[in-house]
Amino acid sequence: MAASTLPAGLVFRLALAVILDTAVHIVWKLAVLQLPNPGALPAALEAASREPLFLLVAALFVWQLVNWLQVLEGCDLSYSQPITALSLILVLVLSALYLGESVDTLKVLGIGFVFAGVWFISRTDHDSSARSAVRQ
Amino acid sequence: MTATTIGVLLVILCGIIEGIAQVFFKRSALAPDGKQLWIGAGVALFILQALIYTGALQFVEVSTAFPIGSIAFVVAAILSERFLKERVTGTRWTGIVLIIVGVALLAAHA
Repeated sequence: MAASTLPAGLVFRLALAVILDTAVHIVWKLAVLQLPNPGALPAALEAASREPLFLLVAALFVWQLVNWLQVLEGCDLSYSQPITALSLILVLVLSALYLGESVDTLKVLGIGFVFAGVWFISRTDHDSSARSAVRQ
Repeated sequence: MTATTIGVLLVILCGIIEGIAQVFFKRSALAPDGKQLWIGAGVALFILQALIYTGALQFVEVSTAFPIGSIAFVVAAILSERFLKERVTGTRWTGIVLIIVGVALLAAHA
């Protein structure tokens, strides 16, 4: 895989991006589960401001952003972003294990298609002319 | 319109916003001048996306919402070609189509 040719530091940052992406979505869902019933948006926002899990989501977001900006310093967007789709698998497994969400054949098939698409994209040339084009 | 449909539409909107935000972040990496401006614009879009996504998660499961949000890859690929001058080849478009099929399956399933 093309990612194996990347510097070790970049591979680590991409792996960290996948883990943080997964953590954000799982904790986010856990936080949302603490909110009032759907539909009461003002009440939900007020409750969200008092929910500690949203602070954790915010902290993870900041960490994710800092890490992601460092990834983009050394990688094309169209190359690095699809790799974060690896977190799809982690979210699927963790949400089934810890949130009791359903996993069936159609959902796995849909994720499989997304994953295949991501794989195709990651196989394309990631050495684009973006840097020189923007500097012009 | 059912609650699930609303949730799916909100997640698709989040994917579009994220794709735009990602292009802003990449522009910050490419252009040292005005770096903070691009990052600020990207963060502002992320905050907007966060608010919408929080609402969406009240209507759909996270294991459904997250893959649908991958439509951001499609948006980012299109915008990368247009504004970052990245080469989007036939193979890359094949990948994009596969992602759309996967997203459609998950949206129909929700």
